[in-house]
Amino acid sequence: MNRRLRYLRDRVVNAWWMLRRGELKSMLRAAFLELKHRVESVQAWWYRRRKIDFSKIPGSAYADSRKVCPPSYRPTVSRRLTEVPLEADAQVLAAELAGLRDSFDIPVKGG
Amino acid sequence: MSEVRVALVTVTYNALEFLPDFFASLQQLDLDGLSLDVCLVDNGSQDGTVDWVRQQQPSVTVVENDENNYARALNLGIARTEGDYVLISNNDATVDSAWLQGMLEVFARDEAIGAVQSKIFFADNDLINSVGVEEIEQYYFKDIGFEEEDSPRYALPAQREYVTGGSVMFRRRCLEDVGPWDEEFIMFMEDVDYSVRCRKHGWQLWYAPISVLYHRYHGSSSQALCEYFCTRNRFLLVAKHFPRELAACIPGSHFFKKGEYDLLYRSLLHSVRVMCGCQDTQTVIDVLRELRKTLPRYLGEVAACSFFSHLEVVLGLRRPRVGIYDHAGHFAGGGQRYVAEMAAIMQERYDVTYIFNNDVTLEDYREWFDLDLSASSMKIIRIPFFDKKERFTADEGMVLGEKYNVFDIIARESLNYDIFVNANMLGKVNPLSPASIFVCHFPDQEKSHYFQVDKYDYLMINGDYTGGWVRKRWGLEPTHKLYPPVNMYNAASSADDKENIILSVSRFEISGSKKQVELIEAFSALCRQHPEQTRGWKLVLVGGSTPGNTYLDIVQEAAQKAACDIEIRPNAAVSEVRDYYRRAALFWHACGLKESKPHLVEHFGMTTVESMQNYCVPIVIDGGGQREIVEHGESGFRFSSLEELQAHSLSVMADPKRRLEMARNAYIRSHEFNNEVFRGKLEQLLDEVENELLGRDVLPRG
Repeated sequence: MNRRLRYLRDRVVNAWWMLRRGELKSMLRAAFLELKHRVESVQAWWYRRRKIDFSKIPGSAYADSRKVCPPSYRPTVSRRLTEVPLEADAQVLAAELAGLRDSFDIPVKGG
Repeated sequence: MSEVRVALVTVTYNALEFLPDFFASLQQLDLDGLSLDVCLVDNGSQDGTVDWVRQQQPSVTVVENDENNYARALNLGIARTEGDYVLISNNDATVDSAWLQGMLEVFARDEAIGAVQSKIFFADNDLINSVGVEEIEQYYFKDIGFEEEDSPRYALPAQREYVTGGSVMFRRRCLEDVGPWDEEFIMFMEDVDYSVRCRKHGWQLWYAPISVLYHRYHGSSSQALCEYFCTRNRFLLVAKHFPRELAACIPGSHFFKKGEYDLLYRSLLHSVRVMCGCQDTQTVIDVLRELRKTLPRYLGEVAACSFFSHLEVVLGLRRPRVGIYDHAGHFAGGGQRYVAEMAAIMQERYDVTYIFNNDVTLEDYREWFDLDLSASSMKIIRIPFFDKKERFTADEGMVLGEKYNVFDIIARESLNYDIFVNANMLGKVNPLSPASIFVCHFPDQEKSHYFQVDKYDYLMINGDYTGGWVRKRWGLEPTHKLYPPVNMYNAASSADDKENIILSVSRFEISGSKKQVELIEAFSALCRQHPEQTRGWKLVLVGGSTPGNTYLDIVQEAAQKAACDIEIRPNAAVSEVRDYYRRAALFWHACGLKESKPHLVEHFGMTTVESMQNYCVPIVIDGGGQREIVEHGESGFRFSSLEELQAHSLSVMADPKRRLEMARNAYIRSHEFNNEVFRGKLEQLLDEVENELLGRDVLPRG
């Protein structure tokens, strides 16, 4: 099944679960937050397109577009990649990667 | 003239409906001057393909592949064949009688021809499927002649840059020279990669118009699967053969255009990994620097930063780093013990760092829980918001109308790890690590502003009771259930060597939530109403307490008033508690009695399991996690009122044989919750997390 459909199915199942137990308020709250998350992810996409600095946007210091689905969505079939013997020099590569990682300046608000 | 030997390798996956027609068409082939051996490699079909072939086509060699990987299947098949030429073909197809001869005629033109592709038509109309493959733009490829009517321009043999694997014959020497097919591709575009490699080795690729195959387009694979693998494999192809173009290929990829950032991130990770295995150091460094410039534009700063850190692990340059955050780590509670047990197991395979907000040492953990965490390190990060308010423990309930998330300081820290474990349910910490685990002992906070739990990859619960409330309160589905590990086994304990002791082990909570006073009332009433049956029985209440605990005073007063044998043992040493477990015949637990608030009901109940590991018969509240532990009437009893507690207790007090049987059942039941089970399940989870971390290549589903 398409992963977006699976996600939607999980959300509907949870909403139905809440309704059956007479938890309309909880269900509406969950639906509202779900909507809020969707809006935030669209905002994040828009900010990225316009190259806006995330750290300057209230409430979204760390938008991470990779993670838009809650834990109930997991890929069902996956495998670990095989090890690749490196052609490139491992030591040089390690130093380069560490340097690239450290070159990011991700601010903390109120830190 | 000697006979030319041709080997046909064809790969199946649930292809039974196509095979009769395919094999029937092979019977019509013109085999003048040649012999044909067929090797069928099955990728795990569930439709009886293998049985059918073995019964109906006994001359066919059948190889069973253990994973649904087309490129791997080709390698397995080719390795099993002999002959001067190897033909690779789809089987959701039928072939023309000149299929083989048409290709061999083209091979006869030049010894430098390494591969020849057929003319492929769609089976359901007269349109062309493929007469070769060409690049259309930026490493996107299409079949030449796709959906065109056949015309004179495809009537003559012609050289091609790329050939399709749908129907192509290779000279054996070419296959030996170029080497095995690249199994990283799994399926789709493995033929384009092989074409590039053939040409790099100096072999020519040709098209043969006389050789005809009629193909059922995507007869055995879906359009979605095709699109996924084509987009994924495009990055692989570029990384292998044109690495300096990798960064430039990102904006044109389907993953980026469709906003599938997770797939984009993963595909790039795989591609760079493959590139590091086949390109020289300088090229790799140049490409990485280019990605440093471009990735933040496409994935955001956080994911881009994570990408380079993640690569270090994927390439095996260092061990994965784990950050375990416990905002209440300075308390010696059950939740802390649970996570410390996790840390003790995780430090065997990862570099573990404990993150706290307050002063505490891992030596404290050794004292509290008898766990050696010396292979882990520790970091204290203070949260200014709570420091300003002089709050000793971070309370997410206080974070309501702030303009920024005060836990971003922890979120930023999580970026330094490959796996971030939020150990004590602080739901407002955004995990920025490539993999993240949220451990939930109970969802005692409602969803509110800055709620982040749905950003975690794994949501771990300690039992079904917690799981039910996670669904109800947060609308989330837990991914893993790990019961707390309990290890109170005592070799000296036995079912038939017990004293007339009813034991209860619970903290003397100031709120009275553990219900010790109610237990005293129940025992007192039992002694009054049934003096004969309860003669010689004693109630022992054991548990931790803080200085000045007013509830403990109330409990002691109630015990003094009751005209029966009751012993109160606050803050007993562990050795003493173990001894009580060994001696006690019955175990009572009433936390949650008459409570309507879910967080006041016992979420799990480790002491119940401890008693069962020592052959006590548990008589516990019918609620919360206790329902998962005690099977009513088998390994103990569950009660809903004090009257039921008394009745169940009397029934086993009066029947030693039944007590003995239940104690043994309880002991057996307790094994479900011991350290070994916990370790096994945690390691299973960690294997899964590692799969995610070290690649998570999504395979086609069966």
